[in-house]
Amino acid sequence: MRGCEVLRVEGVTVGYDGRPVLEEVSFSIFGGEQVAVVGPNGAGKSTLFKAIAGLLPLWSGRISVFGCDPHREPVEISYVTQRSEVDLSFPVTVADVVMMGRVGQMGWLRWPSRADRDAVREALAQVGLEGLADRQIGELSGGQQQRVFIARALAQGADLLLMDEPFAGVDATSEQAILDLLGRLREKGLTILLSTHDLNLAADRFDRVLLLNRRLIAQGPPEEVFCPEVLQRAYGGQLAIWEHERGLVMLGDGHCSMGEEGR
Amino acid sequence: MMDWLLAPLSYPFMVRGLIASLLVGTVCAVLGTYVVLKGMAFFGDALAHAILPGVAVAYLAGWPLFAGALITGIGVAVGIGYLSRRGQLKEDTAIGILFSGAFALGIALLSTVEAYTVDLTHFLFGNVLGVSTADLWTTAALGGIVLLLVAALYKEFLVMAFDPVLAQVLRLPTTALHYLLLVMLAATVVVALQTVGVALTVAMLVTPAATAYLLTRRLLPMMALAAFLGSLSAVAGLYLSFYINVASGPAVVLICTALFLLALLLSPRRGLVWRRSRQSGG
Repeated sequence: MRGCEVLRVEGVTVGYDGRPVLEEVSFSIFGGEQVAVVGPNGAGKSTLFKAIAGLLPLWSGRISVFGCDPHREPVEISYVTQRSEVDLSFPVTVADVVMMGRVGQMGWLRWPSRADRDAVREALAQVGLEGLADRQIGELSGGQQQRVFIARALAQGADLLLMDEPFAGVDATSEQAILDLLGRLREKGLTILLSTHDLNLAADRFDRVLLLNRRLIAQGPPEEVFCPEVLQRAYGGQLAIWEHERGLVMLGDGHCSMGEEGR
Repeated sequence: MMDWLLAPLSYPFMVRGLIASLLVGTVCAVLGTYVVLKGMAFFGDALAHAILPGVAVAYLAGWPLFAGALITGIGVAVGIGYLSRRGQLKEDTAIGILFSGAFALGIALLSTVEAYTVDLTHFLFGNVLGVSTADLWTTAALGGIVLLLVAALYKEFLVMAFDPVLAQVLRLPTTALHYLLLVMLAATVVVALQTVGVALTVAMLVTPAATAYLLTRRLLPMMALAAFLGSLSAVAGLYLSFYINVASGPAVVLICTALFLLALLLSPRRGLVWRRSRQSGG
């Protein structure tokens, strides 16, 4: 899997209600890569993820995952959405939520097997929440809930993991736990596409960065993308940049409105 | 006490009524769990009212009432589902239009019969003591199919209800499952018609499930408790109506409501008393 083309997006235009959100976006992701998608609010990051997961019909262009079209064929993609999209007062435990990731594999008319329960336990251990398996999902903190949804995506067992703003509104403990997990997943060779507001994090932890603002403004290693001229083209005046002895320090609009997008 | 409990059982109509109540209480409460969790109470109420024209036509033509109710119920459920999925109207608007239109049509049809108020009362508020053996078999068959489907598709419906986006990502047939749930709801409403009638069916769907929601924190226990509370209320209501001579449908619903209020006050974690004592305790 490592090094092969896992995801190819070619000339994709997509939007809602006759209004395009993304236009002519093209890029490829290769096996084992960890790629960050960055851009200002409303740049179309979530829309891009929905299109890749096959949840939005494309207006034009093509997407292929492992050589298949996710809009036509069943392709294994794990997708961590923004948390605000589910009802957290629902009567399910943490383990129940993670088990939902296994439903695709289990097939019709089957109840969870020992293997499924093992996968759930293993996924919860990966995100450091094995002790909370029997809690109701709404009793957890926002950061812990986010880790539960990541565990669910891991339990699903797909080779491509999409994560939409996993750090938004998350406490420091959970942020560290997610970062540690990303490190371990890198060793396992899982391919990850993750969106974030935090440009410094994207610069520090990711192999490549896609800079998005309705179009793909730039892509490449962080040191190439994160230079003032390129960033200016995506963010306009919404970004403050300082030269620092260790490199650039960037403060985007996302820092003032963390997690607002999903609410 | 034993005599008090056994006396009504010497009347065959009471025995049939009790069996029907148990079935209705269970099936409504189990499916009602999804109604409560998905916020579909208005939909359930509308569906119950909207099957009236089908019942009226069957009644006037001398066809089995169940058939008329089931066909209309499925038609209305799928119609509302289609209108709201197309996105041109908000769902509650689509429901409001179809529901009141169909209800008016039902009453208009029934009003052509001379002594229509008696029949109308039975349709509106139920007539559990008039259940025939044939009705009982139909109730059991429809209810059994609904319960079987709930069990067979438990994990799929759970994912659909909790996280529709995940259901799509996992490539579950979300549209088919959505319509299937609506059709199951229509069948459930038809089952409840005889016992509590059009006007009170929503209570059988929503109230026991809401009570169970306050007392549990996983879906399966919530369903089981809702089924227990629903059938308990149905039986208790029937006894109440036997001894103090109130109409049976409202008696059943009043017991459901009383149990709910009790849970609302006393439930651990979510109850009002518990919250109050937590606040004052610091």
